[in-house]
Amino acid sequence: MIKFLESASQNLNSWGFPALILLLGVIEFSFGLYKKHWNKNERFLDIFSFVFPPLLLGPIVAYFGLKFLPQVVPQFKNEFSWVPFIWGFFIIAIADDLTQYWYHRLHHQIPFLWRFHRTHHSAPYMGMAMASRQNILYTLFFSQIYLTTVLVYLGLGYPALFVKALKSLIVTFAHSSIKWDKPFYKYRVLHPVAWVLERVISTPATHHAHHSSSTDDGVGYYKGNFGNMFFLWDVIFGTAHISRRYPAAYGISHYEGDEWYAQLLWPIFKSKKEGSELARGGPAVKEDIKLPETENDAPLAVA
Amino acid sequence: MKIDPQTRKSIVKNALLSVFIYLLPILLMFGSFYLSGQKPWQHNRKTEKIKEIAIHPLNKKP
Repeated sequence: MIKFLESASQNLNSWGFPALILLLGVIEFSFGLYKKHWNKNERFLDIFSFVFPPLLLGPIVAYFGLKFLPQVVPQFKNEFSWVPFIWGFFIIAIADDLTQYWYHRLHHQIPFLWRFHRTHHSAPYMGMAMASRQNILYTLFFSQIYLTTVLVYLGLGYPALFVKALKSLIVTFAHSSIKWDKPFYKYRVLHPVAWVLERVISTPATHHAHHSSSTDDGVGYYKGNFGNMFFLWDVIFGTAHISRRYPAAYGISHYEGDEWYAQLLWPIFKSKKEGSELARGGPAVKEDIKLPETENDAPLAVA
Repeated sequence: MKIDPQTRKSIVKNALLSVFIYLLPILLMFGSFYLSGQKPWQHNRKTEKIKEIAIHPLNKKP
């Protein structure tokens, strides 16, 4: 069993995830789940974000793990390889995902940092197209990647393989516009499972709420739900909003359709859209535009 | 634009709790070793030593 999981994780971490994302993206697109929002600017931004980060980040992380660490702390290589698999798994899972929770939360709660993360939220749709969409600097400083590389160097590479595969699966499906969690809310017999799932991991309902263009309407909640693999962090730190409905609209209420290059490389390139958060002299955080009340998806169940 | 004082307070409070959560699996692991009497790090050192002896040029056959 472990051999099967090992080989599945290895394949997922190499060619599997890009293939899965492409497949899900094609399914989403075929079902029209981007609702005509995927114009040329958004398309270029999304595709560039999908292709470019692995090309840039791969060599940087490889250099950090294979050259930098052996130069700086050669004596610690595989020093903790004695850590039993199950403990290594928990150490890596917590270290990686809790660090990403903080990285994400601080980009929402510290006004100066918001514009580095804004690109991920400007997409007016959910799905594979926007899952990798980020400002390049935000991606470059993904702190959990470097922490996990250090832990791998220290000898926790084997459990890291499984954590990476599990995390990528959860995060990918939480961003998808295919709402795999719906049956758990629909059928009463599955409600206990839903109760546990929505508190432990990120589901489409809770993560879509984070990407909603409105907040405090009982469904959307971009002021919280920062968890990536584990939603548990939000529950523990009081930043959780558990909803079993899906927002009526995604993105940023005042989104001006900033140019793809400004979204990718702000503050190096600025947006030409006057008044935008990414424009020269624009506000760090712009006030929300109150949207007229729209009908949400019919509630499947009440949390 | 400044950070809201209430948010700042919750960040500091939650960050302190996070330190404990980071350490939790390590503490639990050593707790389990204490209860079971296991010392896997010693086994690891022995293995390393054996490897060193095995690959040392003096121990290689000519």
